[in-house]
Amino acid sequence: MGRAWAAAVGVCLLLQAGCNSPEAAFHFNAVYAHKQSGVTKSQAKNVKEILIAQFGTPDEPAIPALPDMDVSSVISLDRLKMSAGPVERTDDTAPRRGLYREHCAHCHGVTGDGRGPTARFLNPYPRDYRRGTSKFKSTPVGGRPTHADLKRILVDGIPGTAMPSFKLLAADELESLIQYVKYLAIRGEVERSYILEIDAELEEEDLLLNVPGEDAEQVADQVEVIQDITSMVLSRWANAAGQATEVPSHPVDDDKLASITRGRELFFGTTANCVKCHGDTALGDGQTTDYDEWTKEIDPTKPHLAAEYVALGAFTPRNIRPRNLRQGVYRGGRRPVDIYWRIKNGIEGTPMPAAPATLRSDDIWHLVDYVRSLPYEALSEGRTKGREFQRERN
Amino acid sequence: MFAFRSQPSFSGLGFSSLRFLLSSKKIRMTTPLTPQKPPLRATISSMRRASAYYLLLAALLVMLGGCGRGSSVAPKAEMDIAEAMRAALTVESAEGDSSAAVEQADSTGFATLKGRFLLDGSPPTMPVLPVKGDDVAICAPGGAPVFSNAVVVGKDGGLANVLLYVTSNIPDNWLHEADVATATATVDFDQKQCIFLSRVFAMRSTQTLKILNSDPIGHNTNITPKQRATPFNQTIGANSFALYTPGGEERAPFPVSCSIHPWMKAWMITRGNPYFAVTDKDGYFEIPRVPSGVELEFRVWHERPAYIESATLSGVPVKWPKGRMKISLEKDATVDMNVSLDAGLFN
Repeated sequence: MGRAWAAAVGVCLLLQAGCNSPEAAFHFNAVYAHKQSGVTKSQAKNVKEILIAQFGTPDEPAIPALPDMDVSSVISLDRLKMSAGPVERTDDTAPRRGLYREHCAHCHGVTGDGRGPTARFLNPYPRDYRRGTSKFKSTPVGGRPTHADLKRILVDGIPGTAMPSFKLLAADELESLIQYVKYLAIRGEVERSYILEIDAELEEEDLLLNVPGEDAEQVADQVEVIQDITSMVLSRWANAAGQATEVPSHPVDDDKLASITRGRELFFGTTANCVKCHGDTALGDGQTTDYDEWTKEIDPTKPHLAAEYVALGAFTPRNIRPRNLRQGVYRGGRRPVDIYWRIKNGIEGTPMPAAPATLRSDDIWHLVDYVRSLPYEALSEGRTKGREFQRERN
Repeated sequence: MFAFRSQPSFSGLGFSSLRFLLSSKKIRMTTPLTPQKPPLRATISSMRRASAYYLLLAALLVMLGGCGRGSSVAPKAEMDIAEAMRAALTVESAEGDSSAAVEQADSTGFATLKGRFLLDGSPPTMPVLPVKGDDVAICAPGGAPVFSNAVVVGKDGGLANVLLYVTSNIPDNWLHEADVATATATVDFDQKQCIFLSRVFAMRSTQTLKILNSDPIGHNTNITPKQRATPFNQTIGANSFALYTPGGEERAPFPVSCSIHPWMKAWMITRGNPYFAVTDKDGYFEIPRVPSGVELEFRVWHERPAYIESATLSGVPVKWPKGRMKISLEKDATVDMNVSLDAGLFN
């Protein structure tokens, strides 16, 4: 009897020890591979190995080498290293390593797939960086966010979501995290492109890169494909800075009420069309059955297909709600310029479209003024003054 | 000091619970938990022993369940292979442009590829689109149900909206001057009664798309390419238009939708060469001025099966892995393809 107990306790301890901390690894994008359907297990393993060769591991990150591009001008390995690896504290001072796992990974996941341990309890779900798509930015649809855009989100957080502000971090820590998020996004985008490449071009028995391999010519061709894809992804991030949409100044005549009235006309008109989704009341109750682009990838309207993705790790799909404009909570920032960008460029990855090109900048400013006036309308207060006084008398 | 474990992500949990079930079955089968019926005097101690075994079992299950994180679907990456790859990928590719210098057969002139796609069997029933909201008067005039146009079958079983496009690398000097002239042309893409008038649409990546809105209500056109073309999502006011320049080639068709009217759907592809066609309402297509004397690879695609992998070409069954159809045309020839597709592919 005693021996059995001792054995049991011993095994428990042994297992505990074995369980303690497996080395962190980036997860393969199994959901996207399932979407493309033509990726075998050995091809998936091959992609993982190529990505380790180019981007290293969560503990030992690397940046890819490209013949025709200075990659360090897009992501700085020196800077992002402070965010990589496990959390380490040498004394009570600030950690010099593992910033990402300390501050971000519990929601965004070690891989940046938006599937950290707390992620599925949140609404909205945390961002999956691997599409390279960013909602709140100064660049138009298709452009990557600028460095300043990412910094603004880290410093201000995203009101109305679980994303907090990291204003208290030191400047070099913030800089490192921005670099690390870019690194994860670029790595994720490259991975998706490899999956597309395999699905479109390769037969089941072929690999993206045959190393170690015999056929030098084949390897040279494969390396070229890989470098071409990597450079395509990196150049999108390199170009972001020059793509920020310029914001012409607010029309000078400062009749706010007239501007709001004009904005209201546009809001309900068939050119800007805001009313269709944000609703007659602007409560966000117009078109509410759509999904964001991340969710659309898992076929949310076909439950039997969506279930397959959920089994692979995707979260249960949720509809995306047009913003309730009466709350005065602006996820992408409350400054007039932030709202101008949202209206002018739309919100990438969501159903929110860019304003029609025919809408002049003055008109967009009128819309901004109207939107910013909505939380202060009597309807938004939810009560009338008369009632308020009545209640006080009782 | 502590180390953050690799994330016990949703996928990790999902798979570990699966493993939990499998492993518990296995252990139950192989571990002799209780020998036959124990004699009475041994009952208490065997109960204790059993509880110890249960603890052991529980520990094993916790271990197998809780620890099975990390790599989920793909086998584990091998670090030494990754190291070898790193070496291969960091070599200065001086011979990088060797592929450009590879001798390629030259085209001899031009030919025409045309033909017809037929559906063999009865077409699938199309669902009624969920046309709702205050736009019904314009989107479904008279209140008649609007059916999806995902599979359109015309006269004598002719199958519409099959897309063919050349994926071979085409040097610029192979192009006919008529195609050079249209490289930067503007092409129209229209919507009326809340339906995209082209369900499947192909254009050259250097061309400009004029997205028309022929409805008296606003739409928005959300174009979502996968790789090299620029995504686009812009409101298009009533009876207005927007311009879109893709700026890049895509390898496979991608969805186009309208957020205001979520039932609106189309597919688009942007190509670097002019050799593509979409079958018309009766299943006919024609691609003129195709380079002759060289083997060209086409892809054959329809939104339901995606790549069409099996077909009957002029009575003979053929396999097109990943939709690949290879063909070499003779100079000035007009090749007529008669393709029949099994209706089962379109369910």
